Amino acid sequence: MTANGLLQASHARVGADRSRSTRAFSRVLHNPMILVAYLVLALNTVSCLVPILWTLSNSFRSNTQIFARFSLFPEQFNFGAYVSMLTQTNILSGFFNSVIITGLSLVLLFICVLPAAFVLSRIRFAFSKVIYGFFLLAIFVPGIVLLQATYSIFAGTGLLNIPYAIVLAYTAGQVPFCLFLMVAYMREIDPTIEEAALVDGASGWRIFLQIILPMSRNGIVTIMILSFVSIWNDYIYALVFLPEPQRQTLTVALASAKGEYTVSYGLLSAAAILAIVPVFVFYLFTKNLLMNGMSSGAVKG
Amino acid sequence: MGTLKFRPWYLLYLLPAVALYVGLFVYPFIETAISSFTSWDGITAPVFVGIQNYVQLFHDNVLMSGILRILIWAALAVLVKVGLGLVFAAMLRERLKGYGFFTSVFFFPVVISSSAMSLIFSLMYDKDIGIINQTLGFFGLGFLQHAWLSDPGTAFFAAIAVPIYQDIGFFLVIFLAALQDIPGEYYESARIDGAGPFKTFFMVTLPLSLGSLRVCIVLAVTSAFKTFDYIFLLTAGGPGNSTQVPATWMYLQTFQSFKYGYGAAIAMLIFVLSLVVSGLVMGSNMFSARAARREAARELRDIDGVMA
Repeated sequence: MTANGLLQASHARVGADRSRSTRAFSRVLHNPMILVAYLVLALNTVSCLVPILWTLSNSFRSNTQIFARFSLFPEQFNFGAYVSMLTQTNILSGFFNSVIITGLSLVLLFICVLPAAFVLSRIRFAFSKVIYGFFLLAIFVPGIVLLQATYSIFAGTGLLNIPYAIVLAYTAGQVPFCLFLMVAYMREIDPTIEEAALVDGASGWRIFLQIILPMSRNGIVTIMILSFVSIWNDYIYALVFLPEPQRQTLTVALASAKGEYTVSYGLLSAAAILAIVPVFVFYLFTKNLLMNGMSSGAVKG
Repeated sequence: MGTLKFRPWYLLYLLPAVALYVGLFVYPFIETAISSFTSWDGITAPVFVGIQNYVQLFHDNVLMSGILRILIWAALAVLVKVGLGLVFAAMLRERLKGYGFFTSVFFFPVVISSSAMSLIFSLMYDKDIGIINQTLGFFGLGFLQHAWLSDPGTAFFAAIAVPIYQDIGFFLVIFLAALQDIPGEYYESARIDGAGPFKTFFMVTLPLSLGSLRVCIVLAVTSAFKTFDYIFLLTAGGPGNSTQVPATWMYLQTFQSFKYGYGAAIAMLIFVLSLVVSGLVMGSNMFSARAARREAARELRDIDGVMA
């Protein structure tokens, strides 16, 4: 584009911006409902932010200050509560346990789901639909229904004493839904590319690794972040399967800190903030994928 | 599909998923169903007792009031989280300025763990330092101050307010996606006919999102039926048993009273209740998206007729 063209384009854009903002302004004047909408939305924004800001503020305040009045802004930045939270509780080790458990579960999930989704979506064979339907039945079974029987199996087979064996239960819980999403993604891949690869003599394994996997990376990212959130946030399986303090995950460590340090309000606030910060960072990078994934997952499921 | 020929070794691709699914999903499910007909302490051999556990369910006052509680919870969940999700989505549909900001802020609570959220809210509900009581005191409403989670009158509602509040953003996002699929012409003709925002909402937005609404109702109701975390973390079923729900009661029966058979019967009850609700809501013709679309088209024609 020439300099002149660029100039014209930018003029056009400024014009469009101006007309859009005047239009928005006159829309508000003609339609007071938009003001009402903004008011309601602002109110809900406050209700979403206040709990977190209040907790953040309290994590820097002394118990005396917390008792005196509430404040969304701390009087000082005192990191004492964070130091005692990190040294006196098992929250930090819980955090690392959560990282390892969630990471291992995701690896195992990929090993299970990706090849299976490939076969069920790209190859026609006699029992394909039956196997797929067999997995879909699980969508109606809430995870909590399986809790005690899974626990008995773990106790009976000695898995209970093997570190990180809980990842088997987490992965099994995620397999049906993720397989369902992955099959839906892989079905949409255009077959001409794999036909060409087949003519070139590529094996099924190479087609899976070098064509299907790269082409379904949106689906892979979606099941990864959805499963990450659900495994990272799980409470009840971790509570039942990992009773020893040194093996607890973050969610359970938070809850036990709450039971132990009932009136150390600063410490508890700091613990909650430590739990939220990594999720917040994750959220900043994945929020659009998360929203798309959750809405399409919910509607398809 | 079908370019690749089936070879027996492709069954190996299915093996990890099938093995894990059968071993830790299908088998535990069958195991739960079977042990619900036994008396079992989890250690010695289970004894077959027929339907005794299921009979006992109906004589268990804590469980029965727990079922009443999850029905109230489900109704409030549908009204508040699904309702507000839809209303916010309708407000944001036209991509108001600040669309991205509002959706990001409203959705963030969805990804916070139940454990962290319960911790924050147990501090907020605190009798002395909680922001709720302190705010009431600040506005001279001290007489409303409460030990929210330890008063049997408020404990249950205070506890379920947390997941209901937290999930609004989830339903908002589902509805935003659904509303984008509604053809713009519907809104255009509603606008030309001079329909106000309320009329537009009830004549266009609501009838045309019935398909998603149905899914959302199922999700909201089943999540009320199966949720354990918030009740357990905020009130632990107390004071007394005044906030006990089937999920927490099942946990206590199994892991503290060691009545595995009875716990399994409660688990099966939770499963059947969820299945019945899903079947009823998904199967009902009233919510069928196609009927809704026809209905909306008819309404629009009627409006046109009146206007002409």
